[in-house]
Amino acid sequence: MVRILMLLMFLVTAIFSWGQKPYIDLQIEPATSEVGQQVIIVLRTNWEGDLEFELPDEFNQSGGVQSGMSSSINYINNQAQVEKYSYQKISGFFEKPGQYKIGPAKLRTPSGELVSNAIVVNVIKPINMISEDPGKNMNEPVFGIIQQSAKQIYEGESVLLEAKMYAQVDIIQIDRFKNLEFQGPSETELLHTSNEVDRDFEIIKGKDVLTFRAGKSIVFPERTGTFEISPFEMSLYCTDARSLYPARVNIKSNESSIKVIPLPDGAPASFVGAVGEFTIASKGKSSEIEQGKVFEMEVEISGIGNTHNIETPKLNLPKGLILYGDPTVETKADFTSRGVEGSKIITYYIQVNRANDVEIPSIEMSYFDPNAVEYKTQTTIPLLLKVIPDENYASTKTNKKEGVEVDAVPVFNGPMLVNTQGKSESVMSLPGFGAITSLPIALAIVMGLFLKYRKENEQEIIVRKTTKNALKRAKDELNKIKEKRGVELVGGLSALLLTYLSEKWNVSTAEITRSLICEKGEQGIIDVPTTNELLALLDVFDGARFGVGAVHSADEMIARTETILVQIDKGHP
Amino acid sequence: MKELVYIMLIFFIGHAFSQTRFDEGVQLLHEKKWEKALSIFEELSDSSSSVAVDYNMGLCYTGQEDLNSAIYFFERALKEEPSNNIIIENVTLAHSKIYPDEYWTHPYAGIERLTLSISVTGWLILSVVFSLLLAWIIFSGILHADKRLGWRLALTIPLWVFILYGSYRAISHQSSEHFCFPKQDIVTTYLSKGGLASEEKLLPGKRHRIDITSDEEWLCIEGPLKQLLWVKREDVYVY
Repeated sequence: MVRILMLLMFLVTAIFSWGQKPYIDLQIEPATSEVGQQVIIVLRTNWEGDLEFELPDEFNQSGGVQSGMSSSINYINNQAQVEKYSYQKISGFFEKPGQYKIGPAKLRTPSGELVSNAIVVNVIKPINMISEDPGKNMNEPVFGIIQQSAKQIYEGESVLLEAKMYAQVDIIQIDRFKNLEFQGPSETELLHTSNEVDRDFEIIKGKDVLTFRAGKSIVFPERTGTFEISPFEMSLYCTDARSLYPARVNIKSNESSIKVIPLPDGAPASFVGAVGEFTIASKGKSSEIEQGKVFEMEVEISGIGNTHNIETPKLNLPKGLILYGDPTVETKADFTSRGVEGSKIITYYIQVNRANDVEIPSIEMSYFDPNAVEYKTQTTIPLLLKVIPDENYASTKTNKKEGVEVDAVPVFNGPMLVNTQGKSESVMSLPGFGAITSLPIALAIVMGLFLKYRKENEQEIIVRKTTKNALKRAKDELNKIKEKRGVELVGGLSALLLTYLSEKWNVSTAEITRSLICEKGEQGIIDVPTTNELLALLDVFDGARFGVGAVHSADEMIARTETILVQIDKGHP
Repeated sequence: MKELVYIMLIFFIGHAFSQTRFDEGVQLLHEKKWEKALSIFEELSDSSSSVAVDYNMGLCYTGQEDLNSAIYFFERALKEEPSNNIIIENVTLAHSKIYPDEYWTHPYAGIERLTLSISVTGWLILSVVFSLLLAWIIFSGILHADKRLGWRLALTIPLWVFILYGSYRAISHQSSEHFCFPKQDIVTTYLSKGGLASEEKLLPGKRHRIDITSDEEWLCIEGPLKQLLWVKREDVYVY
């Protein structure tokens, strides 16, 4: 029974483990922090193994690493799934401003290595805060002063508020804290959690004073005018030199105010209510689209300021393009001490009713820069959209209920962005064109005829070539005989003549007989005088060899042989 | 070989430089700095003109509200790409701003636009390919005394002639001057070269066909009433 139960548990555990995909995840809060501000790094994993994780040298870890197990419920296809994971939490702060890449963390497991995401933390210098002079309150053992980043801001701009305590006695415990409040319509985001306190020591009027700050919040006033900032309150226990027991002190800070002034006149038509510093970029989901289909264009406005409150820029669409429904907006931004940092991605849905390529003109966006106190304008690069025509689609089919005509006033298409190659006129002149087209054909005709002739007279050409070579060899041999003039003169002359004839007539030397010569004479291959002379010359050679008949000088025999060779060569092959 | 490398190097550097200048010009256009952009495109036009350069010059002139010049540069760009709808839209708009009650008409007939839908280079490549094909058919036909040579030629030659004609039209289109536009609001026309001035004036934004009897100093054009008139070449834009 126990064995069966154990086996079942093992199976359940195995199935549970198999069902969960192993992961390691890195989370950092906040992604943008000030120097000295607490940053919390959390590593989560549902697997076990050796963890490899390094932090930048500039990160000053405060306290140890907090680790533990936790679980969460995830809903997948409407079914709750419990996920167990272990975590490690590291807190600390950065000592210098800059951008620090944290991660990826690596977890070495028996089945392989898991790698987490990496996150870049943007560390900025602390924002300068304005406050009343604490030196005026040095008669109080503990006092609080409101800190604020500005006394006057523009409409849409943010102000950073913070509670700061000054203590000339040892603080044992903070009991109750009521943060300051902006007394007016606003959007407020707390940057520090209520239990986060930054401690420091300052010298005021020559005295060491303990300071601690809490309740840092960023406020976006929603109206213009002068607004009060109510005081923060705090109860704390501190040492009392007159008593053995700590004294409980209730502190109420000063009050403050802030003036929100309207934006200056002269806002451009493309002003989208953005106050801060921004850039704009656009991109299409694709570079080509079928006629009648909806093209998605993403416009991303990135920067620091009231990013979350920016209105969508207006599009000037060319004829044949209409906006299809409302654009969707996605904000990827964080509240930081500088405002809202990040981007707003606006996706426009544009129905393409035209059949030809079109350029979507650049989108203009103006914002107010409070540091430069001026309106600035940014533009996107125009997008070239290739349209695949659809013959079955008629532009009149546009659903007027869903489509909204945006631009009734025609505008010029934007510039061409790609410089094409030079004009074609320099490529070729008409005579050049005539030459390149007619030359191959002329060559083909000439070469065709030439090769055809060669093919048809191939045998004759070979015979001619052979005869030419035979004559050359015979003449060479004759020259050698002329030089030597030895006893073998007659034999040599006879042999060269027979060899020449055998090569010319393509027969063996044994076949060269008087009857063959007569036969060739009858066929007209050699003429009658040459035939007779050839037969006579052979008789001379035979007579000389066997010592019969008239005596002929060597020069005469050589001259006659030379002559007969020329005569035979001149004759029909 | 070394010279070839140098030539290629100079070509690539020159191309990269002109592309950078072109991008500068486009950026200035986006910033609506028309005059600066125009000076860059004029400089590029002198060294290596292109459709994009001509078109962007047209845009510079629309920004300066010189619609006559804008129409000229848009139409000059159209000479290379007669079916480019972006250019057609802009030139139509510029024309309608000068003459709200008139429609802009395309300078080239439909058949010519169809012919020019293939670039000159495209036509040349087609011509060379078909010439080589025809040469091969002739060559192999002669060499092997092929009986099929006749019908092969019957099939190929008409196609080859058509391609030759297309190439001829494309090259002639690019290498000859077709139309002119007045540079100023009022351009004097003459009844003969250097002769008496005519009463007919050339109107801004209106193109005039050039007659083939033109020379380097004088242009013989088709006047507003379809009569032949002469103008000084320096007084008109020509493309």
